[in-house]
Amino acid sequence: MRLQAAKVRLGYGERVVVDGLDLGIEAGTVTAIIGPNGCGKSTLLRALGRLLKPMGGEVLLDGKRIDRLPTREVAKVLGVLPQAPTAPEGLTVADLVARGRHPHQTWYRQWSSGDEEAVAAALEMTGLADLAERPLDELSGGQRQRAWISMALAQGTDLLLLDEPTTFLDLAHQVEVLELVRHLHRAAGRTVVMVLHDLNLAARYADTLVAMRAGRVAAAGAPREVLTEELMGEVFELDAKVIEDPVAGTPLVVPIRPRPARQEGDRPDQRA
Amino acid sequence: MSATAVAPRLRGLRARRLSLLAVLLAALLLAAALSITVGAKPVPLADAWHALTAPTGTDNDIVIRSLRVPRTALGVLAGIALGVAGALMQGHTRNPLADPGLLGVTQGAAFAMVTSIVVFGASNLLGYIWLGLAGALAASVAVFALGSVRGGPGGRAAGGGGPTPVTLALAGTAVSALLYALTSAVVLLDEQAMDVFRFWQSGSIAARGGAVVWQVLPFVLAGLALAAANAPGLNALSLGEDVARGLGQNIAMTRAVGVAAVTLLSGAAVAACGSLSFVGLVVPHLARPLSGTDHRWLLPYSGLIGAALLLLADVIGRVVAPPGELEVGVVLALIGAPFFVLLVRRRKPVRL
Repeated sequence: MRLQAAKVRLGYGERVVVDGLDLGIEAGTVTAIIGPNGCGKSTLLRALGRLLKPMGGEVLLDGKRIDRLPTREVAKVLGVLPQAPTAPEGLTVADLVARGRHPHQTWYRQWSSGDEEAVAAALEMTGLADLAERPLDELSGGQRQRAWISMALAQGTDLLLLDEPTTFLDLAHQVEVLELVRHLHRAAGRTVVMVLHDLNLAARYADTLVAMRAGRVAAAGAPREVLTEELMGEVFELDAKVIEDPVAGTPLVVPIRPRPARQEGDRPDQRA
Repeated sequence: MSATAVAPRLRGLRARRLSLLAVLLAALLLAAALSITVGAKPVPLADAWHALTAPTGTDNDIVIRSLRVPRTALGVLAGIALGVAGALMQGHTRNPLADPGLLGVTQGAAFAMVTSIVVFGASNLLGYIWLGLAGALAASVAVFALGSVRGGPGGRAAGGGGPTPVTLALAGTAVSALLYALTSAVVLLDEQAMDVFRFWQSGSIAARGGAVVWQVLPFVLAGLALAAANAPGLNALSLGEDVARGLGQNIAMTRAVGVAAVTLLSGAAVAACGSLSFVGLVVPHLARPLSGTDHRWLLPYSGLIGAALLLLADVIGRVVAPPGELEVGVVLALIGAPFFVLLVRRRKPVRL
């Protein structure tokens, strides 16, 4: 088990979003966390990436409590990309990606040939080599997201947590980013955990789906086991038909109509 | 395209930045040469060299060694300190209009100085400067402490990240306003304090003497060391707190080191030269187009540009109104303000 949440209790201030949740991430898998708005999936991802300290329970990285490890050492094995990150204006792609080397640098050694190679390789892998000198704000949404992923790659971790890496992207760019994630996984055996909104893409690109509702794991397993018509009703309060994706053979959700009564336990989107 | 093609381009970028640093250093040396030779008594460059290397007690030697050199040295120190402090401040607050005064250092120094005159009857400049520095440090600590108080359940960035840019700016504004009011009250009541305050407030590097340079030097050096240590962390922090944490950066520590650096740098400069906050505001905007957003380059660029700008403004102040002199703070404001307006109007405002 690479990464594990054990009985974690998460929230902000006095508001508890996730209570007593258990989750284990196997090495070398791609996991997608899905669920309705406000179910706590981003909160969970932030806790897994030690961006949020649990109020109770613990997060274990390779069996050790993540909050007891030096944060810089964690940053050498675990990369986190928060949702919709912002960069200062005028920051170039190369400079952004170079900042991924931060955990490997010391105050007296700010740049090494190893850093240079890692940055160049990350730019190559995301297909951004030709745009290295361009400011981030001049790129398209898809390119920008690739640049951020490239930064996380330059960090050189084999464990990547991505919070909605496809938000604000059109369908073509969503597929582009997810193809990149799949490539990272297949080429280097990286373990990836990501929060995704699009269920059909999640089913297509993840080995494991974790469906959350109201701070709890409602179902976890292979996409075919998780994405069922019952679960759509239970978790998303949506009447839907689940058919086979004619391209990938994975489950494909076709929505029919929302279920009328919204039940207790729903929360407004915290990110609003 | 292969990996071998990107690496040379990255190296080329570094080489370009290094050579620009050399150019700025040359510009500063030129400004220093002007500052040593130009003035009420112009000194030829050869004589200036003579005074610096093998003085024989001529009039020029005395002017150079006892007046121009300390003045130039103080200008260089204060310019570097304010330029670097300004860039740090804008980086930490992610606010392009932030200046070091936002931490309350200017008002802290002013209040400590006028109070010390009234209470202790402090009379010489060296005494003021120590007290000014103490006031600047105290105000900054108060602002940092107030800005760190994070109440209410809504605080999303749980986990004790220290003050946020917004709370820091609010606390700084409040503390500055309070200190300003107190200073005004003291100055109204005490004529001697008023005289010192007037003189100090306009901002000048003239007639401070070599002792002041030695007095502020350790503070500036310590501040620069902290600033250098802070640059990589600030780079991470400028991508947002979550990304910085993900990169293994300790947020609270980074902010604390940054605030300490700004306090030492601007506290030293302000105590010695009075209010020259314009340097800290404008210089990072001049440096950024050359350096980019990497603080490891932005900070040294800002320091060199700050020093060169301060010296040039001082030289201009010496020659525009003979036989008198215009204080450098006045020159900076007169030239700087319209220039800054132009800068802001021509380029779209920078988001940090």
